[in-house]
Amino acid sequence: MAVLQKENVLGILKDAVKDKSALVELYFQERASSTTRFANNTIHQNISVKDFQIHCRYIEDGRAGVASTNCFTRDSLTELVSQARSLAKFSQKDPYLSGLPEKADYIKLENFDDEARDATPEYRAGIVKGVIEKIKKHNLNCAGQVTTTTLKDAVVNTNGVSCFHPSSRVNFTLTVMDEASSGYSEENSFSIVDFKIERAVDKAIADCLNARGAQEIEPGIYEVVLEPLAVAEMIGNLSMLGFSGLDYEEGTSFFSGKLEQRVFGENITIVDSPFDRNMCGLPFDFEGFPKKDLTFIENGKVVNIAYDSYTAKKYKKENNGFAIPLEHRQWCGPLPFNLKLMPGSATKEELISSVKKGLLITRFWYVRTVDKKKTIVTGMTRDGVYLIEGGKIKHPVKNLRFTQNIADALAKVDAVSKDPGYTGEYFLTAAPAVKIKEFNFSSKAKH
Amino acid sequence: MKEFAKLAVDTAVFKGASYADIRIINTKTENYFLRNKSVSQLEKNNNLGFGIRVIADGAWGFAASAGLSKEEIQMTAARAVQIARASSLTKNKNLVLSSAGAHEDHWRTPVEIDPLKISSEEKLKVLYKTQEEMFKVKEVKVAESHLTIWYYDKYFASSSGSFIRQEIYHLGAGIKAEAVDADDMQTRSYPCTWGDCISGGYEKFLEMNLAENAYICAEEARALLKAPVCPEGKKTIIIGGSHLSLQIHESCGHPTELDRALGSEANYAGTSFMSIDKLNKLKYGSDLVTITADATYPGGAGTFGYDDEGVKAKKTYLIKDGSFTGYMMSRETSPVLGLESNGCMRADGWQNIPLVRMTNINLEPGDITLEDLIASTDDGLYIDTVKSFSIDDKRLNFQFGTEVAYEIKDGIKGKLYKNATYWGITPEFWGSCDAVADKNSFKVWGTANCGKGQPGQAMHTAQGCSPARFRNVQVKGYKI
Repeated sequence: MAVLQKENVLGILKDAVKDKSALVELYFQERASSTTRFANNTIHQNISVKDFQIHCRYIEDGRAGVASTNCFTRDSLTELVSQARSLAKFSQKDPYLSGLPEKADYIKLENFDDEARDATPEYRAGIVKGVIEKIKKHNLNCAGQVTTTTLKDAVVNTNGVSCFHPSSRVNFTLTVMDEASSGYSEENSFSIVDFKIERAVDKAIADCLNARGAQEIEPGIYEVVLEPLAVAEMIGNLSMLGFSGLDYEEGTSFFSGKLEQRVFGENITIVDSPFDRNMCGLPFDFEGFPKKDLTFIENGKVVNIAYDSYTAKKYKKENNGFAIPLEHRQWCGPLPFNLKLMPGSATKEELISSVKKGLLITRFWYVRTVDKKKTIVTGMTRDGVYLIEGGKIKHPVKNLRFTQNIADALAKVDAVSKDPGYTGEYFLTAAPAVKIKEFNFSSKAKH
Repeated sequence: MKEFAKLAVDTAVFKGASYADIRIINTKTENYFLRNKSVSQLEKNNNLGFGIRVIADGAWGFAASAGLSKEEIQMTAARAVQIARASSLTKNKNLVLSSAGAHEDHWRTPVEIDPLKISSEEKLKVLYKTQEEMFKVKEVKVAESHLTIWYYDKYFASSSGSFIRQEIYHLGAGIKAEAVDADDMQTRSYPCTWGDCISGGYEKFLEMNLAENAYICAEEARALLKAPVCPEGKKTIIIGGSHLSLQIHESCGHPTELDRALGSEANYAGTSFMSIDKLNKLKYGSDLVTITADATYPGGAGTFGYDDEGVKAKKTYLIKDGSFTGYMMSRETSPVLGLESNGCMRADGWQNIPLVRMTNINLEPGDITLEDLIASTDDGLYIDTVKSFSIDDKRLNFQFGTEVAYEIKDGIKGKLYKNATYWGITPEFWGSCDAVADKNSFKVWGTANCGKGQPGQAMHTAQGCSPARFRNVQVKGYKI
């Protein structure tokens, strides 16, 4: 497969939208991704994929059709536009489908690493071999994966939008296990140079060893210190439940009707930060609208909601660049993908030392919505829960199920730590540790 | 296609592979999604690519690429072998696979009406009608209607001598009404949450009768706004089929994936409390609980002729009369138990490796009609349609919520409740099953988005069941 440069990609895409008699938008992505996965202290899955996706949206007289393919040739794009055009005529007229973003400059973002692009199977296997050897010295078992990905994203449309952005991502996750305990860690970066594998391995080993001898604990309401991964999970869920302009305007969001109101503690500020290089984000949205850092919650107050070109037109708001990929727009409206809970000034140790009796939570898992409008979610703790008494970690405890209103939790944050962790399977969320006055655990696990 | 497939396998073997297989898949998808009377998505997709899996130096390698050309096939086969060699750096022993046999075959989903030959206009007409019906209820603020069609033209070839073509049709469709008032928001879905997913033709979409059920769906959403919150306590519950299918999926399907039980998913999807030392020993449920994995069962989202390793579709007992008797397996995992693969390896597209995945996971029906099941319940709840779901990483502690709960008093189903959730521990829960309705209310329900693997894959699976009754289950209604 030939290496596609910016000029090639944009040239081919622009040719396909030469005819300006209708509104046409093309989104392009080239993806090269390799994952070396391991379990039971051995590499058990090892894959490398190269793929394209090209989506065409054709809008004429308020009717839209979409066609997509993974074949990137001039002929296939001509066919693609034609297919989208023929589908559009079956659509009913929508008065808000009358425009696409106009040509505009976007802020340049440097988050592509040549070393990530050139990482070989031998390189990834070598990393994994070193990790396994270190863990075996402790007579422990491990499972995890290391992935190197490069992406090229581009958007063009008949209004002259012409965006292209290469990015890379390096991701490592690790679970270290003993008979009845486990520890987990994760590293995310756009660059191999910034990748701190040793730190991740040491943390997972330490957590696994510290979690030995977990005792049962009764569910109930506890003061908690949530580590960054657990907090990031809450923030990511909050975004899905509330920040979409579509949900906000239709009245189904927790934030509906609450713009400019204080809904969380003053120590809560949440910002969409695509220009933090470690977010591995894009400088434009999936309609090619330029992005900027945008605050959604400022000192507890709701100050922004996410819009794209359609919802901005429909609800007479300003487009602020949160159009999501076309294939997902049926399920949800515009959304931020690079959210960061801004750090505070405390250390995690200070948060723990201020807890009379509570729990330290490493991370959450299988978090799902119980009630969307009230932001009630349920999920499990995983890979380390510890009882804190008198400001000190007393002993590990077995996993618990929580059922908690996220908004309520964020209104009861006592303190925010200073060092964020980055996590996410597809898009990254960053958060520091927090201490929350009351957190509801509704039942207990057997492990 | 045979030429490309042979080239891939031959190249891999030439480069040093002791085993090689290739899947070439051409996928056509159509997606129709209406939201609040507007077309939210009207899309056709074509996707072509191939993935080559090899064993070299006793370890796995996989490489995949879009498109199809001799040069790309050769490069990708060579890359797969390179990757396998890199994998062998950490191996403890060489991979051993159970046999798949050598098959030459062409299998096709039985279809009466080819859904790809029906016009978009015709399909949209049905969906627009559902929107019209749902908006007759003034409290409905959001109404969604969708139809998705997938057509997979899959070629599989292996160095064991197989060449198999499968043409598989899947279809997913459903509607959802969200009713909103000043205090609350409630949802009602039909035929089930996220829509049903089946294998078959356009005739299956017509049989769903979406338009005929749209008004009732919206009315029920409205009724839920004013319904009282489900009472709390230990209750007898009868779980309706669409929700019970999810219970089966999460608490039986996943823990009986042998790769999970052996630790493959420990970093992501988790492990299983149904460890191999418990096989043929664990009492999973009551004597009324018999659950099979059956890729031969017609019409399910887990129905096929051969899995993605070229193993012929089979039926396996996972749970028999309450006892844990079997796993879903692959060619790599089955030898651990001294068994042959039972054909449960499935991949999400050519881009991904196959993993052990659910096929059709069916709870065998009982011998009591649904009417008699309800009539024989003095005090309980009838609950249905998934609203929330969460389970721990060993598949033990679960909590689920349903869209509706109806009081059963003295054998009569009556008052409507909202916000019902229930929780439990898997074997205790299934041990409390004291009745399963008969085959007259049996249906296979499909799930279009079962997640597993790193990188993440989504799979269409199915779970068949009739409603069933469980005793002494902790129930709680969430007040808002």
